[in-house]
Amino acid sequence: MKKILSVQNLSVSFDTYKSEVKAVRDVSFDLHERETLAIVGESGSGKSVTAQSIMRLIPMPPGKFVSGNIIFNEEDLIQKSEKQMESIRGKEIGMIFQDPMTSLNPTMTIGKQITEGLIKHQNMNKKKPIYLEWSC
Amino acid sequence: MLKQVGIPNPEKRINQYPHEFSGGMRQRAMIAIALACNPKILIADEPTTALDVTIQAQILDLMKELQHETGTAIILITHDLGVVANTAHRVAVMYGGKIVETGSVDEIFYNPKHPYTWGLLGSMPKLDSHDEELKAIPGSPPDLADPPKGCPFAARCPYAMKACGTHMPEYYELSSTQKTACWLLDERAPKVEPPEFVNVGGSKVNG
Repeated sequence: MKKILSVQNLSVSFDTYKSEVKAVRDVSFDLHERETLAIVGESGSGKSVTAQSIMRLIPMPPGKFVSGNIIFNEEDLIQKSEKQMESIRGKEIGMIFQDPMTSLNPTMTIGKQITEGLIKHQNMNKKKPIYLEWSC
Repeated sequence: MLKQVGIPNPEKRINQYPHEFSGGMRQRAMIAIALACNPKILIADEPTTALDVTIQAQILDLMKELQHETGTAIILITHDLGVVANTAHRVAVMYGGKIVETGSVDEIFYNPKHPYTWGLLGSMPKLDSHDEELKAIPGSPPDLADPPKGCPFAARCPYAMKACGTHMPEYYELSSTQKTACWLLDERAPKVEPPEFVNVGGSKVNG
């Protein structure tokens, strides 16, 4: 199976008033096509920080990459600018969060929120996204 | 898209706001958003934690089904081993910011080698057990502001040796897929069998 994501020696830390919290330390794993990789562990073991690092959703500061690479499509996501990441998030890598109530925008209809990404990434017609029938 | 994630009456629903959706339907909508652009990777961070068990199973089935149709790879973050047994191909067990053991689902459930994995498996409720109490792992996770020099689990590990406190074990490759970071696998270490309550290879309980 083809490897599509490779996390190599990733370390992520957060600066706090007191000290530096080393949330993820030297984590490496690969993800292959059509595969489900589960990351398990108790609260505070670094699971979510690892996932958010891949999406580059860790606020920096206080967070920072101490070491490592996240290779996707032969490119290192850690080196990407915020602008470049915008074209990857949603289009290449999607994310589902824990609590759907706080992740959805309460002032937008569901339809708008689903088509938002499509309009952004695939230049779909803004005027009639609602009529699109996804028959896949 | 809404139809694909199993929301009835999509024509009407699409113009509604999130507060008009139930918890399970909101999570379905989230999945629809995440999959709208056909991503190559889907990262699901505790996708079922906020839902009740009956809906959990539906959401997991839905994710499996959509993976089958679209071919996306999924990174599933969870603390629920029942969810893992049902959906994952491979598992990485994290503790104190490190991956302590990784392997295929079968290896992790039937041949776990790390005492923390034993603890996790042992703390899972079982249908065929008559114990009144659930086994917990005593102690609390390490302070990552000042992480231990050695194995992060050493302070809570019933099998900890002196070396565990001072040196982080390397990964021992047990198969082409299973890797475990534990000194017990060193040839100099005493041979330790997983405790009985772990129920290695026992029933995969749907959590």
